[in-house]
Amino acid sequence: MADMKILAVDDSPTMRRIIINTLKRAGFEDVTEASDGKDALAKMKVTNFNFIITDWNMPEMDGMAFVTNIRQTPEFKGIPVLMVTTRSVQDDIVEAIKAGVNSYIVKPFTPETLKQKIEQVLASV
Amino acid sequence: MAQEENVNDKTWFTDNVRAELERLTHSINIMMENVKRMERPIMESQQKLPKANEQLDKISAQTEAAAHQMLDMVEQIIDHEEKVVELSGEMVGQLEKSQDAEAVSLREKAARIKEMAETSQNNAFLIMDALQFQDITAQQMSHASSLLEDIEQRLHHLLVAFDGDAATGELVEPTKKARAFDPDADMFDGKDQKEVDKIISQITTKG
Repeated sequence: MADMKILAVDDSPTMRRIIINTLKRAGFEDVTEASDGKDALAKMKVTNFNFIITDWNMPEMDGMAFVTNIRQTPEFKGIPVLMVTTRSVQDDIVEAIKAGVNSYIVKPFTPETLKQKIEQVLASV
Repeated sequence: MAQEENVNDKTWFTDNVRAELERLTHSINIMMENVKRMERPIMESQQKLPKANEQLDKISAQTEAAAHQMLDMVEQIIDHEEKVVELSGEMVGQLEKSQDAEAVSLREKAARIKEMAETSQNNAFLIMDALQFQDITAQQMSHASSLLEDIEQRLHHLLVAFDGDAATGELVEPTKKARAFDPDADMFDGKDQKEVDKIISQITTKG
């Protein structure tokens, strides 16, 4: 787990910092950050990530467009994706899962939930 | 005789229609004056909206800066307490083998220090988790700004309608900033993670 490369995508610098700190506390040291889907895709072209954590509402390219894009790209489509967002309406959750998100967390989240979801997703893929 | 009556009827009708039209024109003029009177307050309101938006953006930026300052401090506390946990743990280990009363007392104190540092570290993490409020309130403020921009655009269209084509050159169409936000973002009223997990489980079972 410690050598896993995680990409954390969120337009809020505060949230990115919280996610990175939470991941480090859970033992995930290698975390790269991106501010939206477009920035994330650019970083994915130069680094092979094992896991992606993404927000939904972001400028340029939002989380749904980002997930749809990676699920349609042969070299990225197998990467597990965890969506961490404030959107908690049932239709949104259904839409995200159908688009290819492996699991879904609502903000504000607890560190335990984040760790547990990552472990669950990794065990299921 | 009949011809004379017919002429009188026509005159009466024409006079009445003219009087009615004059009253109507007068009413329209009053209405137009009232509408014109509304133009200035609407223009003033429209001019104030960008300032309100600016203030909201400023609040977002300042709370973000403050959240980062707090995160700096929290990270320092976490690192500091980590060192205390490490050193006090080493002390407990070094004193473990000794049965000397003083060593036992010191070991107990070191164990207590370690426990306290761990508690402080956990509390610091809780502060960090609570700082998620900044992302949520920033989204709420973006939503408010977006609504103000909508109102500003509608007021602009109203002002253009007041002045017709002549004014379009002077009135600048307000632009809408590209903003990414969840209109329902809420720190406390969102769905519980357990409810979300239940929905996911229902979808995956069906799928």
